[in-house]
Amino acid sequence: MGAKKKQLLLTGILFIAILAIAAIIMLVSGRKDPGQMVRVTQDGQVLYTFDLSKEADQTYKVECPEGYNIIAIKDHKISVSEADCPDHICISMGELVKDSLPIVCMPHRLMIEYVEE
Amino acid sequence: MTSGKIATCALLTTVAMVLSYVEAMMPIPFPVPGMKLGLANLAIILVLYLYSWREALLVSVVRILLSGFLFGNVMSIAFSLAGGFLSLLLMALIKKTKWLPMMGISMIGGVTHNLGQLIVAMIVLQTTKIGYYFAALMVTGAITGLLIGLLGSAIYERLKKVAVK
Repeated sequence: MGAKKKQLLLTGILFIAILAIAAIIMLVSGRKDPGQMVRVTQDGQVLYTFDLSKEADQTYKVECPEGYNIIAIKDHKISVSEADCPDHICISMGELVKDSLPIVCMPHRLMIEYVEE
Repeated sequence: MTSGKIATCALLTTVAMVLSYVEAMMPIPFPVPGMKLGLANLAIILVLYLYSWREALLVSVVRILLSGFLFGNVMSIAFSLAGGFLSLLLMALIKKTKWLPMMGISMIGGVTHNLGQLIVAMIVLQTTKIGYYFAALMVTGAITGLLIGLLGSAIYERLKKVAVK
């Protein structure tokens, strides 16, 4: 086998290994029961804890030295409706879904997630 | 460093910055939030192949600082630096072994760039819950890294004939 072919083969094997590792991480971390309460934290400090089934429609402004995020609760669902962070990933993540990722705004170190309690 | 080399590195830094800008402006919504094409890595890997890890490190740091001040904030610079350092370290080490073609090296770069950022994110947010998120970014990073590497090797074949040593 030529050196080039060997390199390509190794790339392919590595690619499959990466996919396999990703699948294992997903399986392991996806199994936990996410709980009923929603917690909002910034810099690791708990700002709010909500029971969404009991919350009325409302917005909360969360501020930090770098800027702000506006968290909206609507129809018992929570999302980031407005923010002045550079990438707006927190807004594009949409409403918080139970079995999926927490909503994260990295530039403002804000996290919204389901927790057990 | 010769003046020709300085000029080439400066040019590729500009290319990296423009690519970061294009990426920041990209209106296409990706399936995974935070997923990026890693276009800037195209310029970094070209510098790594044309010169060495030292020049690539220089171009990478200058690119991150400039585009961070222009389009990001202090936090995004910290994340980019973590990702940039880790991915460049691994790409340079693997390049030395000659085990992988540029495609494979770029793939490793894509994955480890996300890994570096996720490690900082876990420290800042004080959580390990985003491991699930990393798994998704690992897959997208590997795919975009492969594509960037494919594009990079095509450009490198043409560029190495004219680039100043």
